[in-house]
Amino acid sequence: MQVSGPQDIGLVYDRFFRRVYNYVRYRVPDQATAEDVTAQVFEKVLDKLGTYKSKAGPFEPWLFAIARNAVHDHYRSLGWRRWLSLDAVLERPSQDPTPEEALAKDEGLAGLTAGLAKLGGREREILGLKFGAGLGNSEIASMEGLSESNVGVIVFRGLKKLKGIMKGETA
Amino acid sequence: MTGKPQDEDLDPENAELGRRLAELDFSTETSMREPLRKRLMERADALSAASWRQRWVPVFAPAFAMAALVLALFVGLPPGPERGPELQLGLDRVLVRPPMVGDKALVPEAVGMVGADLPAVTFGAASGLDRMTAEDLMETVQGQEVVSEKGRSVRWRVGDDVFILESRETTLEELGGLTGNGID
Repeated sequence: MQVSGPQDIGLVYDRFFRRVYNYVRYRVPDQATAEDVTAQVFEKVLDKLGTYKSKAGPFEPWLFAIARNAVHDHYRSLGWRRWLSLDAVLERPSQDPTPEEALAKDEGLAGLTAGLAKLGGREREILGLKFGAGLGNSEIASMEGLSESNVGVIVFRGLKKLKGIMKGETA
Repeated sequence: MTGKPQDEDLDPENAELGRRLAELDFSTETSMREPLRKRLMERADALSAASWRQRWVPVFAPAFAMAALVLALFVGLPPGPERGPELQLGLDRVLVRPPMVGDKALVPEAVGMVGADLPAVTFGAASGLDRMTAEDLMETVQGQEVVSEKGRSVRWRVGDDVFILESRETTLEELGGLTGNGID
C-alpha cells in the first residue's frame, strides 16, 4: 500500500478500520475500551504516516505494530503488570455488551467469543493478529520476534485450547 | 473480512475454527466509525497545512530576503532605515524597516508629554485604533512637526524628541515601546 502523508489517512482508515478494531477487541475486554484504543491507534497512524517508508517494509505490519503498542500502552496506563486474567474479564462490570453478548444471537459465535475470553494473553495476542488483524504467520513472527513455526505452534495450541473450552462449555 | 485467507497455515482440524474466528466482526457493535473518520480528516487537513508551511517557508523566506537585498543594492537604497539629522535630537527610536507606500500604521491622535520627560501617544476615540497609510499619517498628525519621505519613514517631533514610525503594522505595544510610554 502506498501512502505518502497525512492526506492518505482516509484511505488507510477505510481499508483498515474493521481489522484494527477487531484486533483491539480481541485484546481488550469491552467495547468502550476498544473504541478508545482504536481511536488512539489511528491518531498515532495519522501522526506517523509521513514517516512510513514502503522500502522499509510492508504497510500492514507497520500499522498493526502501532495497534499492538497502543494496546500495550493502554494496559501500562492502567498499571497492570500482566495480562488481563480470565476472571477479570468475566467479572469486569461494564455497561457495554461483551463480545459474547454482542453475538448472543448466534449461539455458535457466542460460545466462540466466550472461549476466546478464557485464553491467555499471549494466545489472544497471536490469534488477534491472525484472525482479527488478518495477518499471516510470517508477518506475526516478524512483529513478535518469533519464528514463523513458533507462531504456527501458538496458533495451533490456541485453537486446540479454544476448541476444548468450547466443548467443555457445551458439554 | 480480512486481507488474507486465515486457514493458510492451519491443519484441517483447525481450519473450520479458524474460519469462524475470521468471520467474527466486532466492528458492527460500534458507532464510532464515522465520527472518528471525520475527526481524523480534520486533523489531517491541519497537519497537511502545517507541513506545507514547514516545508516551503524555510525554502522561500531566505530566497526572498536575498532577492530583496540584491534589489536594494541595485536601486541604491540603504539596507537599513535612513537616519536624518533630526535623529540626533533627544529620543531616537527606530523600528526595523521603513514603511512602503500602502503600508498600514496605527495613527496617534495626538502626541504630548507626560510629566517631565515622558512622551505619550494618545490614540483616536477611546480605544478605537485607526489604521492609515504612511501618506495619510502625514496629514493626520496635527500640531506636530512631521518629516517624511514617500515610501520611507514617517517622523514627528515633540520638543526635542523625534519619533519614527517605520513598521508595516505598528502595534500598540510597538508604539508604546517607540515612545517609551506604557500604553494599555
